[in-house]
Formats: sequence, structure tokens, C-alpha cells
Amino acid sequence: MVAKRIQIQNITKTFPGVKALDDVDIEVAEGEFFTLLGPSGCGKTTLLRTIAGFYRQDAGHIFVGDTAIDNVPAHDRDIGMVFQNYAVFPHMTVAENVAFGLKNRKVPKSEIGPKVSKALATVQLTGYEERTPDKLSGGQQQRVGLARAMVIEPRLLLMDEPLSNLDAKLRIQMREDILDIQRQLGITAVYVTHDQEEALVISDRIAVMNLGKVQQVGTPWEIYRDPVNEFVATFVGSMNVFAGETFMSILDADSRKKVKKPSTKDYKIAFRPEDARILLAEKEVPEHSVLVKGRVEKMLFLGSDVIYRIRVNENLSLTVNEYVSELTDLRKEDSDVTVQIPKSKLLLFDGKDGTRIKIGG
Amino acid sequence: MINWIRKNGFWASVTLTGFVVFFILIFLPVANIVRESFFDATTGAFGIGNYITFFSTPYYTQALVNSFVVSIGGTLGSILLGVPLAFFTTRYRIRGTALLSTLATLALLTPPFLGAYAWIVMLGRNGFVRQLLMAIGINFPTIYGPLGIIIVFTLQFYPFVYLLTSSGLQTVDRSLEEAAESLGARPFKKFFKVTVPLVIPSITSGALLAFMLSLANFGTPMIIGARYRVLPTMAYNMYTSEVATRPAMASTISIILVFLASLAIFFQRYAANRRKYTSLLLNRPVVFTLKGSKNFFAHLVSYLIVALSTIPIIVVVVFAFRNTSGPVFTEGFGLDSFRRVIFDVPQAITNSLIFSITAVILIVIIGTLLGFVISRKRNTVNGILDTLLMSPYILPGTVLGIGFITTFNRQPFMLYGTATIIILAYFIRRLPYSVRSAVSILQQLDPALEEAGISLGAPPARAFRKISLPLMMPGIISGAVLSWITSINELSTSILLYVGGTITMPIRIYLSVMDGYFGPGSAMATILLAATGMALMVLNLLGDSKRNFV
Repeated sequence: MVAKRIQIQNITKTFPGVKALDDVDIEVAEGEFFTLLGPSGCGKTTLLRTIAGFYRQDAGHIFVGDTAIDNVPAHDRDIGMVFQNYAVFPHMTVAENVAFGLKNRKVPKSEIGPKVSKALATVQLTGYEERTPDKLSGGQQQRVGLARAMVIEPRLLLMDEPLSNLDAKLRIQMREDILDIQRQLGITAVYVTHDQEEALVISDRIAVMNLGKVQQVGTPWEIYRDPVNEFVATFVGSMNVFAGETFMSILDADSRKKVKKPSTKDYKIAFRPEDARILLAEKEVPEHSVLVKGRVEKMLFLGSDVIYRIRVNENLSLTVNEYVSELTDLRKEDSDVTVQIPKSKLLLFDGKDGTRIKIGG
Repeated sequence: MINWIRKNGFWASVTLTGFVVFFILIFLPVANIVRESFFDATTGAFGIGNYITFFSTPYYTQALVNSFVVSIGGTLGSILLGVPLAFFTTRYRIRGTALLSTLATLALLTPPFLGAYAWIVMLGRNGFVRQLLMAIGINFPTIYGPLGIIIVFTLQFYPFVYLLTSSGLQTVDRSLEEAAESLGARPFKKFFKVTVPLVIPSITSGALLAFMLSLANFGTPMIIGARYRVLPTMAYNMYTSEVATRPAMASTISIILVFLASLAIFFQRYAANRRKYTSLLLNRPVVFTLKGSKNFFAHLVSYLIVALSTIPIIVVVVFAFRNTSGPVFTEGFGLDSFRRVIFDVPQAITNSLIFSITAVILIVIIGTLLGFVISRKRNTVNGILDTLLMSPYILPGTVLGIGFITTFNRQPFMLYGTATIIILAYFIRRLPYSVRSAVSILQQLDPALEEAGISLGAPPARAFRKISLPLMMPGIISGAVLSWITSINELSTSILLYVGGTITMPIRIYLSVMDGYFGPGSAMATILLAATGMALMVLNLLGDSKRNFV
């Protein structure tokens, strides 16, 4: 298995009435776990299917290693693919499913058996060889899908929301397994998901997509902590977003001075709920934070965390997410509180196009 | 066009084949009928004269009225039998539901003219039931006439209402009825305010199907209609009568029939699509076990309904074994009638087998390929083809027969009197069902399966052969069996197209009945029923007894 670098150069794909991919330009490094993240209809699956060869791009090129594969038909691309609904062949046993790609490649019979066994061992399905798919759980079927895709030792592994049909617990377990297998094989992987948490956990790098365009490419940390625009900021994780002037108006004069305003009047201010916290009474005001007064409207206790919905005034409320420790003093509903937000955690976005505004200092 | 084929290859030529089939076997015959209907038979003048004649002559308008009377009668009868049977068997524990369902399906698959014939044996002028009653002094009316037609239609077509309504009832989410109950609705109100409205689309859909089939049916009114003429029999007589053939009027009647049939189909589609309440996350309805007299009543009604539709089949089989002397039944039982049909007219049997099997092979291959093109290669051209190929639905057999004669008894298609013309008629009448069934099989087949095969290195053709085809096979086979059943039982088109050498079993039975030779007729009908029954058993083995009938 030779891991390959993939270059996606200026790919455009239009379906009747929709621009599914708009000048998409991405480079995936050898052995990298790369995720396409976005809401449904953002183009992530279209891009994956274009790489697989099920769609032909209208413009642009795709390189695997140094070879352009634009004109290679899907069955000759030597790319493994894992499908959302497993696509395990229901009329074949587990072993036959895994052997299917090997037979297409005319692998000698004597080699097929050992390869199948090894692949099934990798996905922990040893002993299931003669089962038929209808006797397998969803998680097991997806393991078959995974074994089947990697046994052909493809240059590249594509995964199209492989976990979205599984239940929550299994999803968490499977995403670790997928990551382990990918690391173990050192294969280049492109993964599609709409689940931002999954993307953050599993990826080396993420491309966030919306409306056929790549919004940002970066490590999970960069995507989460340093979003380039309002879309990325709100799509990944949760975010309190306010019209800039409105937010300024709820700050006291002292806090207001601390916020550096952008040159435009049309801007937004945002911060993550976990960056804010409720000020303990009688404590001094931290120098680099802004303060907002409000009343606890709702307290949602999640065990490890507690979420407060805090009403500031008639038109404005915000969310605070605090880590719960033994020392935490849970606030009751209807109690008056002061919310403290470090000013370094305030993100500014252009009100018109949503791009991030960074002001020095 | 040529570029288009080169680009799209094999599948494009399938699409092209679809259009050619439509053009030759549907468009040309219909166009010829339309053209004939606009020309005056004597003067040759173009105009709507024939239509004016039709609507202003009581002789014709009476046939129109008669058609409506028996069709509406048959439809109401079907609802009256089908809905209660569906309700009882889906909501209450009825012993032997599988048997009831199989017998109802058998009734549905036996050709109506066999039912009509059986009723003559029972309640015809010399019917044995009638003679029994006569012996004890009751002068029971004969089956001939509109009431008889309505009875036969009812017993023939109620399974459509039954099958559709019971599948509708089975997909009414239990929670909906429970919600109604928890909101304070009493059982009676719950049933009429929640359950019934939810299955109304299914009932309507089945009823309109029964209506359309009644309207288009030819054999039944021909056999027991006596002088009660309906549109299909009138068109047939106009075309074949030795005294005064009036092909122009036959064409006019045909067009009116097609128009009425398309109205019925239009409303049927509308009813079927308008409100689909079936939910996927389903809490299946509870099946209650009734006690005491209620239980007895539910069983009685269910079995009575199915028995009524099974009686004709039993009568036909029993009479096949009775001894005869010419047209007269004599004492005792034997195989004489069978011997006569097998040795005297073996041709009808071999013809039927050869024609139907050849037609089915064509239907399966072309229907499956067209179904694949329509569901997997979606584009405007294939969308149009899909609609066009559905048109035989609205072509009554008699109309298609007339169209075939006018089209294929001259160059370049000189086919009249050949086996080919009958095979083509079987083929085109059944093709839409085959295409539909292939489409629905493919809809249940995840396209990702084939893509998985391709991504694993199988070229498209190999992926189709190794993955889609094996998965489609059970559906294709059961579709083929159904097509075979309908083809081997086909009467209304082939009766217009046959000559001595291309006679088939249904035609032979029809002629025997008309000549009063009930013995050989029954024997032939029994052979046909046995073939149908065996085919039905094959379907049951495939675990697919309820699909594709409607």
C-alpha cells in the first residue's frame, strides 16, 4: 500500500440549477486523515464522488501522486470507498464481499484467502467469514465495508459519512477504530461528515465547506479556535453571535473601552459559550475581560458541564457553558449574575460577508 | 442522434429500442384507429361524423350506458366484498388468512371469461343449479344479462380492492388510532374518523382499477351478456360481424373506450398519489382475537366472500371430469373430455405454450432493460419514454386487437394470421407491468451497491452482472411468472388476431362455450387453471405472492 498525495485543483461541478462545487482547491498530504465538513448540500459528497470517479468535474484536475486521474474511469482509479449505508453486497458472504475487489484485480486464488483473513482481523471480524450481511449489525456491516475497501490496498481511501447510520455510542467507538486502522495502514484518507465533533476528533486537517466553496482548511484546533468567517465559527461548535453595536450597548462603560471597535459600523461580535463564565460574587473584575449583567433564565445540567441561558434584556440572551467541578456553585434559575468574557476570546466578523475582522493587539 | 448513441453506448440503444417498440406496437395501431374514426365509411369524407352518429344513435348510446352500468355495478360489488374482507383479515384473527389470500389471488388471476362460463354451467339456461331449483319448483332467473355480468365482474375484481385495502390497513400506524382513542374517540368514531379516511386512497385506487378492468372487459359480456351490448363487445362485433362490418364505427367506439379508460386511470393515479399516509416508522396495527358470535360472523363473511369467487373454479374443474355426449353431459365421471381436447385440438395447447413463453422471454429481457434505463439513467428522453410505455394500461384488449389488424395487415408489416402478431400482442399488453416492476425492484436496490462494485475495480458491465442482476433476479422471475399467467390467459386481443392455425387455449374455450360444448371447454379450462395454479405456487415459493398484481 503506497500512500499518495492528492491534489484537487480548481474543481468546478454544476448540476442543473446548482453549482455544487465552485473552484475547489485542496491538497491532501501523504498518509493524512483529511475531512470534508459541512452542512448537507455544501458539496462535500459531490467532491468525494468526483474523486471516486462517479461524477466528472466540469473544470479542474485531480492528481493522485503525480498522475492526473481526470480521464480514468471509476473502476480503474484504484481508490477504496466506504459508503454511508454500508453498501455491503447482500447476496454475498462477508468473505465474498471482501474478496470481491481482489477477484476483479485477478489476484491469485492462493493469495485471496490470507488477504481476506488479515483484513477481517484488522476490523475485528475474524470468525464472521461465512455470515451473510443480514445477520450483521450496522456496525459490523460497516466494518465489512471498511475491510472490503482497504483489502485492495488502494492508493486512497474515501469515506462518505460512514458512521451517520450508526447509533451514538457505536459511532464514538467506530471513529476511534477507523482512526486506528488508518494510522496502522498509513493510508491517505478523505472523510466526509456533517458532524463537527466527529471531524474534530478524527482529522489531521479539515476543510469546512459551504455552498460549494471551501471556507477554510486547517487543523481541528485552527478551525475551532481561529475560524476565518462567521460560517465556520458557528458551524463548528456553538457560538454566541450579536450585532456589534447591540453587544456594545449592553456593556458597562468600563468594559466598552476595552473592546477595540473595527472601522465599519456593520459588524458582529461572537464568543464561545465555554469561553465565558459566571463571575463569582465579591471577586475583583479581571482586567482583560468584559462584563455583562443578566438573569439566569434556564439552567441545563449535563453532568460534566452546565449550560446557562442568560437573559440580558428583552431582546438579548446569551449562553454560558461551564465545566462542573466539585467547587462549582450551580446558579439557580432567576438569580442575577454577571458574565465575564475574556476580551481576547471576542471574535469580530464583518456584518456583510461574515469574514473575520482582526484588529491588532 | 448517432452521436448521442456513440456517447451513451449500450443504454442509449436500449432507449432507442423502447421508442421503436412504442412507435410500432402502440403509436401506429392507435394512430390508425384514430384516423379511421375520423373518416366516413361510405363517403370517405374527413370529419367527426362518426362521433356524431355515435352520440345521436340510441343503439350506440345504449351500449355506452350499459358499459357504465356494468362497470359501476362491478366496482360497487368489488368494494362491497373487498373492503370487509380486507378489514376482517387485517384487524381480526381469522383462521386460514393465508389460504383466503391465495384463493383470492387465484380468482384474480383466472381470466374473467372462465368465471362467466362457470356461471353459465351453474345458472345458464340448462345450468345444473337452476335445474336443481327447478326440480323443487323454483324458477330461478338465468345468469344472462347485466346482473350476471355485474356478479362476474364483482367476483373477478374484488381481489384488487381487497389486496390494496388490506395493504393500506396494514400501514396505518397504530399510534394514530391510539391517539384518537386517548383523545376520547369511541371505537365507532375512531374507525370512521381516523382509520377509514386513512385507507380511502387505497380503496379508491382499487375501486378505479376494478372500474377500468370492468369497462375494458370483453369476454364476460360476450359470453353471458346475451343481447346486452357493451362498448368492447360492440366494437368487436362491428369489426368481425360477417353481415355488416363497420370498421369506422368500431374505431370510433375504440377511441371512446380509450378515452374513458384513461380518465379512470388518471383518477386512479391521482387517488394513489394524492395522499400517501404510509409511514416507515411503523407501529403495526394490533390484530384482535374475536370471541363468540362476533368471531363466527367475521369468519363466515370472510369465507363466504372467498368461497363465492372460488366456486366457479371448482365448477369448471368438476365439469371437466364429467362424461359427455356431444354437448350434453351424461352420467358419471371420466377423462373423456381431457382426451378429446388433448388429442383433437393439441394445437391450441402447444400454441398457447409457445406464444406465451416466447412473449415472456421478450417481456423479461426488454422490460428489465427498459426499467433499468428509466430508473437509473434519468434524463428527459427516458422520462418521456417512461410515460409513453405506460400507455398500454389504457388500451383495452379489443382496441389493441383492432389497431393491430388495421396496422399489420398491409406492408411493411404484413403479419396478419401469423404467430408473431399474437406474440407481439401479448408482449405489448404486458410490457408496462414488466417495466414498472423492474423500476420498483431497482428503487429498492441501493445504487451505492453497484458503485461499491465499481470502486472495487469492476467495470460497469461486470458490476451490473455480479451485483445488480443477482439481486434483481427473484423480482424478475416473479414478474416473468405473472406475465406468463396473464399472457396464457389472454383472450380479448388474440380473438381478433387468430386464424385457424394460431388458435390458443382461451380462444378454444371461448368457442367451445359459444357452441355449447361445455365438456371439452371445461377440460381445456382446467388445464389452463392448473397452469395458472402451478405458476402461482412458484410465486409463493419465491415469497412474492402479493407484489405486482396491482
